[in-house]
Amino acid sequence: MKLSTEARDILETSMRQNKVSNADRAQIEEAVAAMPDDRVLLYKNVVSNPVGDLYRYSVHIRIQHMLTFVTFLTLAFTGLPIHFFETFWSGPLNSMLGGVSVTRIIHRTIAVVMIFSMVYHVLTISLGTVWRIRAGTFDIRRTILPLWKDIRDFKGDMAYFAGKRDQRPEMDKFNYKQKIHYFAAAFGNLVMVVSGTAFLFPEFWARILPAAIASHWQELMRLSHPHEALLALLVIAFWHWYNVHLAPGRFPMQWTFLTGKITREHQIEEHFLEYLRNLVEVPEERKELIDMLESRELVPDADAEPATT
Amino acid sequence: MMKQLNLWQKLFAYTTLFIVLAWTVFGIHVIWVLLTHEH
Repeated sequence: MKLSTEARDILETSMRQNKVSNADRAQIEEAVAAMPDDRVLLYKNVVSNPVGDLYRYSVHIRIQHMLTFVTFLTLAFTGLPIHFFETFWSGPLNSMLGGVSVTRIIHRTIAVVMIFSMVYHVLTISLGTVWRIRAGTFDIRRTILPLWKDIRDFKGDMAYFAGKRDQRPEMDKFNYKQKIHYFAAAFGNLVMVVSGTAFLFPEFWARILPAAIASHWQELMRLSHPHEALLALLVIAFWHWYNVHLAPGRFPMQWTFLTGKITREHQIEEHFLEYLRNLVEVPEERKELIDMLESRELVPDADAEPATT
Repeated sequence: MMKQLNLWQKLFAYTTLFIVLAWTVFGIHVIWVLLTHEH
């Protein structure tokens, strides 16, 4: 495969950061050359273990996802019958938990766990970044921070889905969709925590805010809490669950949140630039890839004319 | 090409999927009720 300028730069950066030997470099170049230009052909033909082939998330991130997963659903399950107290369906839910006063205690307790997981997450990503900078392996393109490239990728992906190009863009470890989703969740969490404090500590807000806006603030927070919650519930049910359970190639579920690993097929399709880093960081992957491509006779002929598409 | 899931993995994956879909149906029902409920 002839790499694009962008992909070449990612590969060179990764090789420099990982201080690869000349022998390794030759092997990496061999693996890159063995890949056909058509990435669809490539990812449709590699063999993948459905529970994951390539390392993606540390155990900390997996624990944080688990904490968010459990607390989010529990908070929704207890929060809805508190807010919509007078509806007929909230009665049975509240009685099942021991009455609305118990539901409220559960809701507030779980909220503390959710805040803990937020703090844990902020610590993980900031200390992880410091660690990477000190080790000389930091690359901003590998983080969740939005970059101009994401806008280009978005346009490119839309063009692909509209049938106007035959390859998806070469996306990085976190693609534009995941970045939007991540910051939506981060913002949503913050809104829920801040507005939640208006229910728990109204005196605190009354004390620190000017009298003219204190009651408006209180009203605003009491409106945002349930509405942001419903919005988040809809996003999880229709967007997140579609992406990780129902989307073609992911059905019946993606295992990354448990195993921390992503399938080779998925990595090449949606995170090709990260796959190039995998070729640098995981020596077995190079051999695995070359063997796979050779067995399927997909290695491009070096003497042949470049394919035109 | 994906390898096949083994029996336990299939059981786990489809159970998870079932829970997710059940919760979604419940959510749609709740939203429906909220929108049509007369106070």
